[in-house]
Amino acid sequence: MDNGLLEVNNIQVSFENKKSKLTIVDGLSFNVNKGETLCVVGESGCGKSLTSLSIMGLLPKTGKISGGQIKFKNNIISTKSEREMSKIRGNQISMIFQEPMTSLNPVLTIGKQIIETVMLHEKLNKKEARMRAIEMLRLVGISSPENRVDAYPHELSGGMRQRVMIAIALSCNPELLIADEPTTALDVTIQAQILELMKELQVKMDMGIILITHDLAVVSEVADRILVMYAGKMVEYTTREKLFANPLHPYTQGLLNCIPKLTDEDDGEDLYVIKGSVPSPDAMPAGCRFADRCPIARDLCVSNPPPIVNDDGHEVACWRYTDKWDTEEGGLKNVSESRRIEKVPS
Amino acid sequence: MATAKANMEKNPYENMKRLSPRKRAFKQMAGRFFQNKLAVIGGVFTILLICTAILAPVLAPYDPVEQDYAKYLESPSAENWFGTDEIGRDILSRVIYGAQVSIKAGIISVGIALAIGLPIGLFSGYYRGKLDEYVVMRLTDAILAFPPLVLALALAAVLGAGLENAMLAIGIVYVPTFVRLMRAEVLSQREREYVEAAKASGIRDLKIIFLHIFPNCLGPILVQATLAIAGAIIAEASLSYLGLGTQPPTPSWGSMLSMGQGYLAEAPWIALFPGVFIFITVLSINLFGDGLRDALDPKMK
Repeated sequence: MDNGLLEVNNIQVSFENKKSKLTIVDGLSFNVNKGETLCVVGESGCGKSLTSLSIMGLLPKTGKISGGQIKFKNNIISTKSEREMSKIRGNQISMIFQEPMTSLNPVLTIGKQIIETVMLHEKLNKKEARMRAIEMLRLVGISSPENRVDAYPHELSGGMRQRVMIAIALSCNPELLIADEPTTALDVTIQAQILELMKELQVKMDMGIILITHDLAVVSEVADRILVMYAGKMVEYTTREKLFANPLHPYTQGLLNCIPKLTDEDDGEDLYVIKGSVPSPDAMPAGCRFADRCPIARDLCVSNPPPIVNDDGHEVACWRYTDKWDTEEGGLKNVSESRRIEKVPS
Repeated sequence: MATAKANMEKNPYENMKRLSPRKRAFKQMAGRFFQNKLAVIGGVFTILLICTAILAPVLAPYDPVEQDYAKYLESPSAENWFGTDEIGRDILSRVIYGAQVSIKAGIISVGIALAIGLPIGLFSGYYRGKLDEYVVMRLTDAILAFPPLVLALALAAVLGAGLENAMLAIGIVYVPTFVRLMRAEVLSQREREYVEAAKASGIRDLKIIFLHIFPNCLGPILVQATLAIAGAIIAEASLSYLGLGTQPPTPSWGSMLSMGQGYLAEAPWIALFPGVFIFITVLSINLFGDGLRDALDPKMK
């Protein structure tokens, strides 16, 4: 049985104007199955959000999918018209945004906002839609939903608003939910509740979830598979178990090292940082995009983009795992060393 | 202690249950409005004025156009509170009937401006593009480049004298203000996340424009509209003063002012009372509008 839900094949997202073309997301491939959670991890500005917007067909006007394709239930959706997409959006693919404070319309009651989405996609009358709205609010754990259905967003706390956002996103039983950093604006306890809720609903509705985050603690809790992105490219793509047990890419290793740990020995020790910063999209290096900041980079990395090595379902884009690595001189390259020093501000 | 506990057990959303959401929001807004004394005074005067205009036939002691040559240019007395004009008409009655013209002129001309300006601003701001940038914006620039009264004067002169044409002229002059304001509001609202979220749940453009964006833009528009009504009343008075608005013998504050000008030395009351009423009306509406703005947007101060 085919369990596949979303298939993204080698997509490119670029921004174009008359003078120049900037490719932000470059050659990204992944897929999501029913009932599965894919976490997309990466630094700010690496193209995570653009990837999700391109799935929704909501890229800003100047941006477009300039290569590859997106398939949803074996239909190509990356070339669909705005009109066709609006039938899929909300109905089959839903999205939760980062900011619960601003993602709700301040002048409409939350009930009205849920009812609107429900009535758009399902043949229900106003009364039934209202019942559904109340039911959805109860489902996402809002107490006395009969009363709060008439509340305005500003009368609710951040956590409640995010629950409302989830209620809106789930009101039409979507098959795929894209959550773009749904918990970053919330405090830790609420964060845990919301994630727990999403997991629960996922099981109930057999939904695929794409969770975009830069919080590795969250990832270790909820992910089935993980896609690590760096500067618009995939660097590592594998299951949660494999990634946390054996991270292959130096960037992933760096990310995992960045999490502060509380142990007896290293109190007072400096936090681990990955030196340098993400290259700007208009000046992407020719070789591996991480080479500049990579502790083990060699000549080879600076001049040639790394191939994707697939080791039993554990994909990694790094020269280190190819045969060529051994024939190359070891140690840090002088050129990249001097470049790195130049870039760090005093 | 016991009451405190009872209070805590009470459902905090109980009040919500009784009032519909719209009423509740309105109540909060009204609460803020009534804290502003000046705005309340402005509001009361505005309402009184509207009542005066509606009840003019009942309130006016005399027929406003009835001429009585036996008592021309009489100073204010018990019989004629505000005195009489050069052909013996009762000034009080004329001021009362004049309110009708002023209110009508204010509301209708601003109504025209809103009816034309808001849709243009709404679509222009939402869809942007060349039509917005090169046609709508440049056209409003061109209209805004004229001094408003001069433009209204020119339009009224072309359309011909009369209250209807004066209102149309004033309305057209106000259109670009509302196009600009609406467009600016839409531009800021369309980038908000709730619009993107609405798109993400599959809601179509037209519905987003009218259901989501439009209500969020209404605050500033409402305030600007009240202020524009005050402006339109002055504009109508000015046009009438210059003979392009209300035609005699229909009383209007502007034309009364213009008539009274010739008798300022011997009968100052002819010009004084309509002048005072224009002043009070515009001031009240402005105070009311300001109060409305503060009440609608509690963050701004």
